[in-house]
Amino acid sequence: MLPERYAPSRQNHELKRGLWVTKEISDVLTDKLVPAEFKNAEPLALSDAQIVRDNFSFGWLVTVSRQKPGKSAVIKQMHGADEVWTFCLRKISPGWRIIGRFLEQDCFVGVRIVPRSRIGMDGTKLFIECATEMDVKFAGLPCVRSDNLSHYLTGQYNDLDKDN
Amino acid sequence: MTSTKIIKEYQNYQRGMLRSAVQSAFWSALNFRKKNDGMSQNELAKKLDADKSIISRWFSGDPNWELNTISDIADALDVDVEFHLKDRRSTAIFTPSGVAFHADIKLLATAPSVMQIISPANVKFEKAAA
Repeated sequence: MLPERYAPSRQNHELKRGLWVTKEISDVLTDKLVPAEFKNAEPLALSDAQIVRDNFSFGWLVTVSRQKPGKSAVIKQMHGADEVWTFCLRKISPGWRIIGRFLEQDCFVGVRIVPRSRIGMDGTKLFIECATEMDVKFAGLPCVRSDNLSHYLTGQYNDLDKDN
Repeated sequence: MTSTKIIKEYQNYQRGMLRSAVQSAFWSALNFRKKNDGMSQNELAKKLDADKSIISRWFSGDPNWELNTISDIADALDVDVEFHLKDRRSTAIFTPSGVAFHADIKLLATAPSVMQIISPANVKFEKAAA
């Protein structure tokens, strides 16, 4: 099934970036679906999670990190699999990660949503699974692959790996 | 969700988006200064008599700046902060010197979303057709 584009709460701003997610992730983000293992989690429709998604969509400031030890960025590149990134929703307990990749500039496509702890437990295995899934789902669509962050994102972003 | 919780959530969203908009605008100005005048976060910190780590935190977290801080950052970046409020119910723009109206925008009704149902005005602006 093709991914859906996340629609921000505010409709009077131009959408500069796209957050595309599977129907399942969309249902989780809007509280239509609560996966069994996340029953005690805070709902992802809460405003703190919406603010992060809307900032990204409007091209406003988001933090980015590509380094392995990493910083607390919103957009983080993962290691151990080809071009796998996470979109982090930190403020909502237990901390959520949408796993995906940039299929083109400003176009993040998420195929899996997991609590933060899953990444600590079996991150590499999960990333390889996601990369394989994306290779199959979007066969023929090359993803962004660059040393230059500006090939992934336009708008305002803070590269936490750089000394500003 | 109770109605009190919904109102709190709406309030939290509006507050967060305002903080983000201010932060993002200043980041844009800082980046411009960096590219054009070579201004670093260190230099901004010096101008504000603040530690560089504070500046770093401002642009990697969710700062809730006081108006005085906003004024100080604007001065340090050599920018003016202009202030106007857009009416959600009409085309009125409120400025420190009074009300103005935008002739080239019209009011449109929108489909209500969860946020809009409890919003004071379920409207958005769009450029009027010529």
